[in-house]
Order: sequence, then C-alpha cells, then structure tokens
Amino acid sequence: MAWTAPTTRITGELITAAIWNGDLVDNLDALKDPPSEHYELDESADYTTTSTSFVDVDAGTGANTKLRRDITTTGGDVFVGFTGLIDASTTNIITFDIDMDGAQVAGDNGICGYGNDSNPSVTISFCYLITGVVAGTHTFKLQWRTSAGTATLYAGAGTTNLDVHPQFWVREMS
Amino acid sequence: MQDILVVKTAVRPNNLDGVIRAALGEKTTGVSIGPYGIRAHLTDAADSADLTLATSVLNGHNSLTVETDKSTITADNSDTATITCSDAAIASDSDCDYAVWVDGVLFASGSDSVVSGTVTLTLHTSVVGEFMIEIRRQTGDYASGYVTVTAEAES
Repeated sequence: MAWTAPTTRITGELITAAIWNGDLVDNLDALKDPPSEHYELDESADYTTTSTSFVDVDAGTGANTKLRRDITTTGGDVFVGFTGLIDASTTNIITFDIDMDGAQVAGDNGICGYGNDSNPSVTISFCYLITGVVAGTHTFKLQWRTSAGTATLYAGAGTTNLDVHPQFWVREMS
Repeated sequence: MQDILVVKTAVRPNNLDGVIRAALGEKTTGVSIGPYGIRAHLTDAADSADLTLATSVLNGHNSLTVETDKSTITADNSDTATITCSDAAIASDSDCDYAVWVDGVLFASGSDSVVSGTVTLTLHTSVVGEFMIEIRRQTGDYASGYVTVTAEAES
C-alpha cells in the first residue's frame, strides 16, 4: 500500500468513504507496512576482499538478491542498517559504505569501520539515515574496502565459532 | 571499476591478490571471494588485454595438480612430506613459485626449479598445524595448485 498525501479538510466538507479510506485507512496501512527489505546471510562461503577501493560485498544476480536490496519509496527518508562480524589478516582499516543507485552514500572512506592490529573478530553494526530520497525504485548495495591485507566477513558458512548470520536491511522511514 | 567474475570455489588461503597485482599493478584494486566465486577488481584504465589476463589468472586458480606422498607428518623436524607437481602446464617452465601457510598464516614463500617437467618440494617441520602448500606458475596464466599436509605433535 503506497502513501498518498492527505488533503486538509474544512468544516462542513463531506467526508466520503473514499476520502476516509484514502486519507486515513490506506495511509495508516502504509505507515504500518512501509517499503522494506532485509537479508540475513547464511552462505556456502565467507566473504573476503583485498580491494582498496569500495566494491560490492555481494550484489547477487538481480533485484533483492544477497546484499542488494531494492525498494520502491514514496518520497522521504530511508533507513539502512547492517550488522556483521569481520576479521583482518593484518594491521588494516576495514570500512563499509552503501551504494544507492550507483553512487556512494557517505563517500570518502565510508560510513564506519574498524581499524585493528590483526586482533580477533570484531562486530560492525551501523544504521544510516538517507534523507530526501525521491519517490521511485531505488537499489541499495552494501560495499566495503580494506586499507591493506585481507578483510573477512563471516557469512554463516560454518567457520568454527564464527558461524554467524549478518543482516542487511533497508526501510523507508517517512 | 571493472569486475571480472569467475564462478568457482576458491582455495583459501591463496595468493591471488599478489598475482593479480604483480600482473596488473595500478590497474587493479584487489580480489574478492565469496559464495559467488572469485572477482578481480580492475580500474577503468584496464584494457581488454588486462581483462583477458585477469580472467586467465582467475581461471588458472587451483587448476594445477599438486600431490603429496604424506597428508600427515610428525612435527619432529624429521618426518618429511614430498610435494610434487608434474602438471603438463608447467612442462616448459624453468621455475615455479611456492607459498606455504600454517593455519591460514603465510609461513614461507619462494621459487623452485622445474626439473624434467616436475617441481619437487619437501616439508619437515617442528611446527604443529595445518600446512597449505601452493605451487604456482611464474608466467602465462599463473596457474596454481594446492595440497594440505597436517603436522601433528609427537606422541
């Protein structure tokens, strides 16, 4: 159910069933069930990268596959989130960003990450508000990079004691 | 950015990043691996020849036959495993590179001669762990092959 902007009514105006259902019922339904997509990793292999430029973690094979999520919004803000467990092969800085419709949302070195000295696995978790997203269908892809060495994202592949299931989600908020 | 994707299961750890960077230099930003296979990331400066080379390297990953006479040795620095590669792909090569990882951490690397079409390595160690041995061509498609030898503690 898509959101439609309600009309300001005046005293004496007849509120028909159509008006009531459109302004109130349909819009309340839209608020209860906004455009939203999510994916939990339970893969056959963990992810690694040595790329020093941002690349897709796994954009799948089309809309709403793997760590690519597509939603059709009605114009407003979009909330994007990710939680996962990462590891590094050496002293490096691993960072994440979101690619929306072919462009990095945060830019520079991304949204957040972890700089480490090759210590054991670390949880990365972020929520990011993208404001003023125009109405339409939008593609969101999780991206990452490492400053050196190899970055690993555990993906439910059965790695001993690291068989975790990260989540990537997208939701229109307003 | 231009991505080369080869759908195959990668052996880990490996030296794909080192090979790609040695072959393409500034024209690559690295290699990614996942359930989708292996992806080489090339910059927009890479031309068709570079794309072909990157594809060849990815296709050559784990294509050499590498064997060991012992899959398990005792870590007494005496018990020795002999690792060989006599793959037809190296028949005309003069040398091959090798790398050894212990429990996923790079332990040693170097090169060895191909004699009568065969490269032969020996492994004896006092270090307990899982040894992953890679043998890799120095030219062409930089094809590689892998074998695992487990070094167990003395009983």
